[in-house]
Amino acid sequence: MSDVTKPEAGAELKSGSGSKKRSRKRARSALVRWLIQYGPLLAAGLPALIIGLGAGSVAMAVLLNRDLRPAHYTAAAYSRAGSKDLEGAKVCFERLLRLNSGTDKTKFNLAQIYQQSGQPERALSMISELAPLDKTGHPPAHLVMAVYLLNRREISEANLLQAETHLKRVLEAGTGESENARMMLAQLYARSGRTQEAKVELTTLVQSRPELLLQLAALERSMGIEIDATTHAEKAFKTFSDRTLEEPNNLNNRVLSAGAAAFLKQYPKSESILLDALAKGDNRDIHSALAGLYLIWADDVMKDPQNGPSSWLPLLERGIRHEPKNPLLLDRFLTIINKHGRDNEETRSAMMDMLSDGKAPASAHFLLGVDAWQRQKPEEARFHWERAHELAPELVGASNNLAWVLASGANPDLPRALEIINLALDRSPKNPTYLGTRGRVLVRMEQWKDAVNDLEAALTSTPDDIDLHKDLATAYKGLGMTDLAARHEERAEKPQPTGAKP
Amino acid sequence: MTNAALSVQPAPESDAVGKSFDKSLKALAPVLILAAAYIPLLILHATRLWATPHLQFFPLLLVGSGILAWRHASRLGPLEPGQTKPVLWLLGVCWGLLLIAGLVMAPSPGTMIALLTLPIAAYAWGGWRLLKGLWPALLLLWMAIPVPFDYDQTLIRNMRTMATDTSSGVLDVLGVDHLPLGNVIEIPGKTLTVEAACSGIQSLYVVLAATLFFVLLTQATVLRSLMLLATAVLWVLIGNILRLVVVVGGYARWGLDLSSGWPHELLGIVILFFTLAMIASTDSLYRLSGMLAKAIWNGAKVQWRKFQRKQGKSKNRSKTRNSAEELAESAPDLEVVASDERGSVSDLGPTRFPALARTSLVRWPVLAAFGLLALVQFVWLWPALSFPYLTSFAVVEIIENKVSADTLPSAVGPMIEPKYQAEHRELESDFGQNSRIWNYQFGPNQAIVSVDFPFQGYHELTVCYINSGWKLEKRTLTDGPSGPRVEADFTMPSGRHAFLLFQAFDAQGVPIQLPVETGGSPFVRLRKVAKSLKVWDAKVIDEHWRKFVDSEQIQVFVEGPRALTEAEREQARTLHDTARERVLDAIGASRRTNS
Repeated sequence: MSDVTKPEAGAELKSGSGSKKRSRKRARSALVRWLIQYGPLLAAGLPALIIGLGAGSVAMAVLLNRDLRPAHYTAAAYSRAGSKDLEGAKVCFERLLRLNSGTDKTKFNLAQIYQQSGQPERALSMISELAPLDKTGHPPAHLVMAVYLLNRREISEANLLQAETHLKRVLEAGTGESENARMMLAQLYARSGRTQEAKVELTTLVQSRPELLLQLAALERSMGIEIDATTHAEKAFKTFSDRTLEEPNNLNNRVLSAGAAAFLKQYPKSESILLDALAKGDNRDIHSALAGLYLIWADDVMKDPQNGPSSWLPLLERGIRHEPKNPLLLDRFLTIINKHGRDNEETRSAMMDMLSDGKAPASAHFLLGVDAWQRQKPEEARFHWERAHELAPELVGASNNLAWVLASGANPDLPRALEIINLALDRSPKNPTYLGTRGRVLVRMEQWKDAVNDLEAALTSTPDDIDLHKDLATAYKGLGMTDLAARHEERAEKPQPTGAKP
Repeated sequence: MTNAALSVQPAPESDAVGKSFDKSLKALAPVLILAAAYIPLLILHATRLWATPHLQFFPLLLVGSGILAWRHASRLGPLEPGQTKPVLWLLGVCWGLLLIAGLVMAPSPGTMIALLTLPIAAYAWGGWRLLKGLWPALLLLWMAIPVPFDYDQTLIRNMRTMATDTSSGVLDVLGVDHLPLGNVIEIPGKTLTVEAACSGIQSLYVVLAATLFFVLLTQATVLRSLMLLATAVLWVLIGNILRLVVVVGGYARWGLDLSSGWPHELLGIVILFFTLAMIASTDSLYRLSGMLAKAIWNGAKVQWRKFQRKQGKSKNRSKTRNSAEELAESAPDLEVVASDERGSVSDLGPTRFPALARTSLVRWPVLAAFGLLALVQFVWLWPALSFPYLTSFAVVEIIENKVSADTLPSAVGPMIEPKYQAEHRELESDFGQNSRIWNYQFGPNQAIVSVDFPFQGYHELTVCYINSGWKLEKRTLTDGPSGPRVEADFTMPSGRHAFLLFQAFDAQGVPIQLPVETGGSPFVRLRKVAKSLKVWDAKVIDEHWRKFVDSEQIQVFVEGPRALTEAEREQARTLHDTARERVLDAIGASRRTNS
């Protein structure tokens, strides 16, 4: 049985595996047939299927990304603005506006980008829309509008009123810009003579910003409230002296406490504070503060007619040593030389000392040149101004005088004079004195039309200047316009008080 | 369509096409007389198509149509003419319609009538069998008819907006920061204009025509044909989005400028071939799907029969046909094999046409009527066809020769220091193919005077500015002695304001009238069509003629950071008046109305 059964079972097993094999074979051949029949079509259709699915996925991604765009563009806009990529920031901010996600802040930032990109009109238009006068808009926009109105060359009453309204809108909004707005409001009031209102605003401000105490004190002094002024100045002195003790390296506190001391006319104390600060390390701001201190100190001393030049001249000299190019000091020096009748020998001596010290050679040469010119020694004056110009070309007063002296006299060096005065005008393009000097050079060069342009521009600030009228008369003669030339000659002949030339 | 009436009989020897040249000419003469009536309008239509970039491919339609005709009508065997009576009636209708189309100088309707006449002629000459063989060829020719009532312009605008919007979304996904402004995409440092060519309209027409040719050639089923045509539109859109993304992304990422010149053209060609390849690939998918659907259907049927047999519910088992045969008959018509392959059209030998003399086309009343119509059409349409007429209105030549930087003054009121430039754009540009531009400084604003040309008839410029990202706030029409002038105010969300003034004239200075109502209702359009039929009215005739002349548009566009004051608007109007008078003076406009 077992012999019979075994082969039967084996056959069954065989036939089972055979049928499996057959079915696998059938499946394989069916697959091959299918591939032969449909394979080419499938292969040809696959690109469309794959790219179509890809396009569908992209479409889905676009849909899902829709709501994320404002956040992305906000981040990108600020990032690009931060890295000064103005074009990129503009695109991103404008896109935000297009996505209807443009808040007032977005618009304000976009306006700032326009401003930085050299489109101030566009920026202003946008900001003015954000800062309407009849209601509270975007506080920073109100502040910018106020600044714009107050920075105009000519400020009308209407401008002042609008600026005040804008600043009040900022205060109404009660945002972080309030302090700045209040400070500007105080300045606006002080500027328009509303000192009481200015005092109120500053009194409010000094609670949080003690650095304004001195400004308040100055205002009070101008109002004749000396006691309050002194009180506030003393408070400022104490505040910043304490702060200096707490933060010995903070120069700003030292400068402020020195300023308070100077305000209280405690000049030696103020000087000592600043010199202490200077001892900690050379600092241009401290030098500048010292120059300012010596200037007001000298002015204060000069007020008393009992005080002779020996009491205030050293102060000015100390000032000019700290800041040789300080225009106020130089101006004061010249004024003193001209108006206070100081002995020229004494001046010269002081200047010689300055030269020998090597502290302010350019300024010394400049002043010595002025002195020589006044002593009718043009060659000596020319020498000093040449030196001053070589040592400090930025000392435009010396350049102007040098150009003048080069253009005057029997043997003028006109091309050099023109070159030097053009350098001076590059630094100070609208200075009428320099324009007048260039006008003179151009007259000497017989460039009549250009000379008239410069001379007439210069004449607007000094209409009675004889030299200008003389030069204009020459220029108009050169142009063949005798009537105008005659008029200027007539004006030049009238004795008018003029400052010394140069 | 039935072909029951078709009786195939050997044509008599005498009816065969003549062997000698004279005989051929004689035989062709009636055909030429019939065709002559259509030729003037067909020429005008072809001229228009040639001037429209997205339809410039129309000569290929003739080639495609020829191939289809050869493919499907070359082995129809001997043919018999169709019945006379319906042919005469239908030809009469066509004659009447063609006369009206000629009188109102309507080239597109004239061409449509010609395309309607062709199947009538085919039936008249070779009966139903010829008509059946030629219908794919005749259908393809309809692609030469543009979308009526300027709807193709609307289509261009919509496709362009869609392409810009969608590609903008894709660029956002790719992280390319950009600013879409209508048809303009701005990226840091570059402004890319999406011209009409990039809208997909050109490729849409070409691709649809190619797809139609393909489905007609392969005689695909209606379902597959419709699906493939619909898919073709999708692929065109995808192709154009891809093109915009490549252009913008290429510049933003790698500084690669593909927005103009030969790289742009090459990219366009690559995208077109990509689109065609995708359509062919999609067709393979559809065919595969159809085959699979059929196989599954058959399999399901077999299983169902087996199931029925097992259940013993089959009542007419002995009578049941072979299941496979039955299933083949009842299978859904999703397939896709060409009908030729299925043997639906039998090969009856080379096509042999009956002599024309036997057809109703060469009856003397027919020839006389169409001959007379041909004469009328040529006489009536001669001014539009003739070269001298066209040159007298050739705006491009006149402006290019006579308008220069000095045409406009160096200052008009407060507008000073104009910067002049001549600009040449793509043929289908919104702002015209050519422009002469003077850019004046006007306080914080820029006052741009632009003479844009050539346009055919009226051109609604406000739409172009809307497409450039401006928002139209107000549009008013003033009708003065110098013709109608449109004034419009625009704004941008970024705080820019603009004031636009424009007018259009032909080369002789005659103002181009505005349409009755742009985008008006069908009723308004029909009323306008009815009005245009008054061919006895000289004014109406003049308007019809004017459709074939080029025009130039004179615009002033003042753009600035704030809206103009009324005084500034008046200054802008003065600038426009000055520009108009100076330009019309310069081109020697002889028929201008002095304002």
